[in-house]
Amino acid sequence: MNSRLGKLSMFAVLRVCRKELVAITRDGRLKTLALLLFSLLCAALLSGWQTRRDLDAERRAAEHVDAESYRSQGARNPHDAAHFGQTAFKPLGPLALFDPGLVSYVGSAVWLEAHRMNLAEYRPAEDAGENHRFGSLCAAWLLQWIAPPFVILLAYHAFAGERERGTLRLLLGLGVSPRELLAGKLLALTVTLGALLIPAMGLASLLLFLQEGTEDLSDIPARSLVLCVGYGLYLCTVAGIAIAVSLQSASARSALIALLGYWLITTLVLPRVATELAELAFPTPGNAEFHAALERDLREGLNGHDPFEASARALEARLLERYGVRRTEDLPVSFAGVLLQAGEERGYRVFENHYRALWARYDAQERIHRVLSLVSPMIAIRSLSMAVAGTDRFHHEHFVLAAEAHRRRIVGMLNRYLIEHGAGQDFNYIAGEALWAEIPRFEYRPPSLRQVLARHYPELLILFAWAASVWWLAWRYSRSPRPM
Amino acid sequence: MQPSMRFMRCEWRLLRAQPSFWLLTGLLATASLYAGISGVAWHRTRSAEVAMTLQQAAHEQAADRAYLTDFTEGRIRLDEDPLAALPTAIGRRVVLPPGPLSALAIGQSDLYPYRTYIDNWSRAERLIRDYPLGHPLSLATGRIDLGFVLVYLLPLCLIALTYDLLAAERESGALGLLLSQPVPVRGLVLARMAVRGAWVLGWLALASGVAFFLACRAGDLVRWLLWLTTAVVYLGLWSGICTLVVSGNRGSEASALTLVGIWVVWLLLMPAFIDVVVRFISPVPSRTEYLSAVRAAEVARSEDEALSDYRRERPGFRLPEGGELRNWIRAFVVHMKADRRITPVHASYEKRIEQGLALSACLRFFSPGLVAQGVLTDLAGSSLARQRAFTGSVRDFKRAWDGHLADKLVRAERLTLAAYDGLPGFHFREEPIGAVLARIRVPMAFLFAAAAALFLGAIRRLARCPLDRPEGG
Repeated sequence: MNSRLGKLSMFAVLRVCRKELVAITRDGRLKTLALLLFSLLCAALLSGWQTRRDLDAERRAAEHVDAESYRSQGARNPHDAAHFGQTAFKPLGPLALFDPGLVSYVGSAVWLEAHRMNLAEYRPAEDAGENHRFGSLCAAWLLQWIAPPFVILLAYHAFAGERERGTLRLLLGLGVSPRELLAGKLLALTVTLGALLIPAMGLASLLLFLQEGTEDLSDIPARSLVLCVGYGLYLCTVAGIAIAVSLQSASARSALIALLGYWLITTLVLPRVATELAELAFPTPGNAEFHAALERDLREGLNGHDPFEASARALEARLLERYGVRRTEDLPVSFAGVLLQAGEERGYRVFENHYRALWARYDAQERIHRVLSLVSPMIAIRSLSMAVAGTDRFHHEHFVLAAEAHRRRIVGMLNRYLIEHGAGQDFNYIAGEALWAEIPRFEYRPPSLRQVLARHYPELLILFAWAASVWWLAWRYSRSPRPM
Repeated sequence: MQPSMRFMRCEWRLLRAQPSFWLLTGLLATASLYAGISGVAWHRTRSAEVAMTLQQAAHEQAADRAYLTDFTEGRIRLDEDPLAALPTAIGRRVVLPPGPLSALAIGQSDLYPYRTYIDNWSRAERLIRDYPLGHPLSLATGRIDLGFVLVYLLPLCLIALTYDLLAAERESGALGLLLSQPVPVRGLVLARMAVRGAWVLGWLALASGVAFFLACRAGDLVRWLLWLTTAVVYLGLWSGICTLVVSGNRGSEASALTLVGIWVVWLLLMPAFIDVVVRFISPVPSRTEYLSAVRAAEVARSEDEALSDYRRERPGFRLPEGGELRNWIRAFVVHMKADRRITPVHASYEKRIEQGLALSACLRFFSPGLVAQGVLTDLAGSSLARQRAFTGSVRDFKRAWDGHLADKLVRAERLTLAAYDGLPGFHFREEPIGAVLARIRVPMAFLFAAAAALFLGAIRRLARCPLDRPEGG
């Protein structure tokens, strides 16, 4: 039986594949490394699942305590309740067990208080010790950092080793075409990686299925598929580069050195270079500068000529005229409440202006990272992986904005209540607990997969372009490989 | 001429003739010099931030003094502003300057908060709120500084220069001829290693010297010399491991794989493992759980109960009859009592963090990279220990601040200029070098002992160095 796929004989391809698999299974070092990588993947998934489960349980408990505390804060002035505040706790998506992404570096809770838009507080990385940045064991990190050298070890001697041993000439002399050889070796690589990764994917699917929680899990299969495609393209790229280099290298040693060098530069050095270039091109404002500008605009207005005191006096004059009274104490509404709400709305514009400018700067920095992913596919897969797992900056900002919208709702409700009921008493007015029960709880829906892909489809395209390019290159080189 | 000097001269001549050597040198020089300049730039940016914060603080204090002067001279009246000259809204800006050698090793100090504002309303769980504004991806990835170059990249350069130290000649069959000159194999290997190690170290020393000159003070020269010593010992450790591996009966390919494998295990896998082990045995307590505990402590007493508690502590305490002043003082007493209930919650949380960090500190000896990084950042003043010292100083300052002002506010005592000028100011006291040395002596001894042991092992192994091509290539 000698079926053909185009110009390839499937029989030859399968024989080559079989031979490669036998060689891999006989190589004790490779078997050990494969087992080690598989164990690490399983350990990382289990550890990620447990961590996520524990954090999720704590978040629910904390939300309950926060809500109960808020409801039972006792009778007090509504503005005191606005300062008593609430906390919005960020939920961790189910796929965080696979890729916790930036979770340790962005904070887990937003304090919702009067007068001030807060970003998330309490970055776990600050409390975790200095080894945290060296690397956190998770499945994504293993696939991005450790799987590529494993693929390189499997593939670097595919052609260069055969050439050194003199078996390449023999194989070509036997009538095996170089492309059949290439296809057979590629198939063997795929089978080996599949044998490692498919069971790990099975474990990941089981753990996802066992996730507790009330989040909408309906898009998890689609997100998982995108992750599989992304990582498949990434590892395909690494394999293609290894094979292409092996085809062209004079020796297995030079192929290995070149490939390890490429891996180290693209994985270790280029992400940091991307960070440095992004910071050089679009520097993040310093804290002092940023907060000084924020405070100035809060005082003087966005145009710099509208101090709050003047606005407050103008507002007072308008209200007195509108209600035909001479003193704020005679107003049928609480002037203190009106002033508070005016101050809040002024603050909303200032905070939006400054934080959106900051986030636009971050977006520009990410464009630099995207450009460098044309050189390092690891940068592309890292961005895509975090985005699909819901652990990137976009998801975090989405949460912060949702928390801010909720803060404005709460503070607006409390101020309006004070305005309507606190006439003549202002800060002496005491509201009962019935008011706190009316304040809605914070409900959060993360962005959809469609929104994520709308931002990150370029990374998918880049990975696809990488995989297609390197395999086209390998295919071309295999047309006439160096026999000696 | 001494044989070892002759070997080194010959070796230097041979190295210079290889194009790959110059390619590697180009990469090494670029990385080292860039890292040095990057560190200097970061240090200067942070220093500028600190200067801006201090300038802001000076303006605010000048404005406060002008206000109190106006009040004292009667230009501000109590009937117009019942809260005039009360210490309700004054505070102090608090800032941590960059470490003495942070231009050399930024560490994680780009991640830690370094400035805050302390006033009467600051609370234990939110004392330091000003988080650095860097892109989270930048914070997660870290900067290219000399610490990164030394810990991660220089070992790779050493590996690239030494993996075929003997194997190249052994594979070509020339080793036997060379050693028959007669050339002692130990002397040969050590001379070769010395030339390569010195070349690699030389670029780091140059870059760190430039960075020290541009960004550090002359008074920190001893720190810099200790920093360089750490670099020498760390590279010595890697030289030892390279010597041990190449002195075995391995081909160059196998040596390269072994050495890169060791690099991956020591610098990538071990730190990740340590992170997992610490997470299981002594996990960092979750901030979510902490915030729940803080909230529960906050609402443990109602406002009226908090006021009654305070009256029991201070029998003479009376709230003013009505108006804005009564509301402020009432709110402040309730806040003060809540803060006191929260303080032990915070202390318990900090203790659990310390336990996790202590375990991390013990386990780091499984990764020489982690040990070296810890020493480098400690000497540079960009370590977690310094950050925690800063946090501790801020807490002490807050206590001193409350000690001066809390009672005044509760008694509605107006501030005078003299009282204002007598308020405490915040000054972060840099740890004396002796305290840093006490912390780094064990890790330095470990690195030194490991380097010595590896070299001894290599020297013994060289005595049995095979001359023939290894079997299986």
